[in-house]
Amino acid sequence: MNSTFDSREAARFLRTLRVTTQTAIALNDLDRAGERARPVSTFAALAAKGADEWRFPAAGILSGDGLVLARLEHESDESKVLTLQAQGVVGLTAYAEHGVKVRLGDALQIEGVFDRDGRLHVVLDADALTRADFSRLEIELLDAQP
Amino acid sequence: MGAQRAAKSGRDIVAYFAGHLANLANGNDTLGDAEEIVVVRPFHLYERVRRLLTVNKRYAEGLVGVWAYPPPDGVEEAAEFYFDRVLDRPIAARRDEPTSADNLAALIATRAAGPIAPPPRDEALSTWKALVGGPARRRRFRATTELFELSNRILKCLDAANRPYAETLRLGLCPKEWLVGDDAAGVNTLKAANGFLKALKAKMGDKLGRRPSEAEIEAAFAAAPVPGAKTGKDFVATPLGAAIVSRVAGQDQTYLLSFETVEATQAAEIADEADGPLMTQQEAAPYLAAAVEAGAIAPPERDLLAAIMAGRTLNQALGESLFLRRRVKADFEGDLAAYVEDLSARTARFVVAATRP
Repeated sequence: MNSTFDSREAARFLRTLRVTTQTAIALNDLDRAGERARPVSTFAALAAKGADEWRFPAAGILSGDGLVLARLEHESDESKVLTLQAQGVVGLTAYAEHGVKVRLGDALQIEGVFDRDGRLHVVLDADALTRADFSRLEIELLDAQP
Repeated sequence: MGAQRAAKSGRDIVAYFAGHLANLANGNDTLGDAEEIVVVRPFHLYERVRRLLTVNKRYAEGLVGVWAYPPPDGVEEAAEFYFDRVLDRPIAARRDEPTSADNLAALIATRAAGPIAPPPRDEALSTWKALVGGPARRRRFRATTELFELSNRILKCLDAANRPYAETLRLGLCPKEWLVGDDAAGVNTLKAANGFLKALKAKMGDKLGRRPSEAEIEAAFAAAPVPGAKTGKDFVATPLGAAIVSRVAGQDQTYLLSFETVEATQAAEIADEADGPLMTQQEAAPYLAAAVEAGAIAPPERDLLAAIMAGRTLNQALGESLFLRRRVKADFEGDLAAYVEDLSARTARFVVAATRP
């Protein structure tokens, strides 16, 4: 390589490269939020049922599109809380302040709204826990925009 | 060109944030391509930005640096401080010339599609006030090249307003403790202190977690002096110098790891100021051609960058190129954004190396 660039013009090129690529990446992330948030998202890994109760991975399980992480928290004999947290810019754009229907198998469907921070807590009482099938967790987006 | 897997780093997160703000202010997250008007509601936009800063890990760690805030402050407090000290920080004028925030406000005013409030008098604008303070009803920046200019002007504001904050994080210190109050340090002192820290780490053989010797401190100070102190001993006796040495000597692995992450996001070669407008595709072509000639990038990668600079979306720019699709899949696990960041960084490194000092 024998070319050397003028420093002022090279700075303009570097700035152009910086602005155009990062703006295009940001736009791409927002577009993916619109495209990838399918009406129904299933989860890539599944909870397993042990002898007496469901075993949920401590690190949670990620939806197939990578946009929502589900955790089972506040465990007690009487009730549990299923926490759904939207992931990254794409997940937040897709789910924050949006309504969803959470399905835990055929016998249990619960509607809720992700908060502005992309979190949704679903409280499951003893009755719900008997009907819930965590191996068939799905979330369905109910509205397109907040 | 090796086919190594590039780490998805927080590199150039400030430019990404500027691009993100431009897209949000332009309604690109909620409006279809055909819609001509965006109505900017400051509180809605604030909520979106606050949410991103607190919940998005890349922003919370790389931009806000929540790891630098001691308890009881958490991500909410850190994001709030970042908003106040960076986004809403008034940008002062030099020599009565328009500031970067004035230039941003002027661009936005050209998009007015309704009443426009008179600008505040004798008050330095912040990035945020320039972004939301103009007309509420605006004609959108529909051509991507127009959006680039909006992003460029936001980035010019952020480059100025974010610098003291970023320099404090690079030192591993909490911005809330060092940007306000009696011990507040100026940006030039912070920059020099970072130079000193870098030299000190090198003199210590990058083996941190211990107190540096006097000889190491003096050698580092000789290589990278800090204004206001005559010797290394003088500097480490100041509150800022003492804090830096304490952090270096500490065993806080979170800090050590975070420092490397933040260091990588603040590469000097991409933070230089540039005058003049963004380059056209034609103006940029010789730089891309030279990068291909030198083997820094492949011909299909040149075409990809040229298409992005011409305003095409990433997917449009990727097109049907089997070379590019294979590379994204094999080396970047299908993460197109990570690939473009890696490609951009390789191109930038080549141009910096090939530029006359």
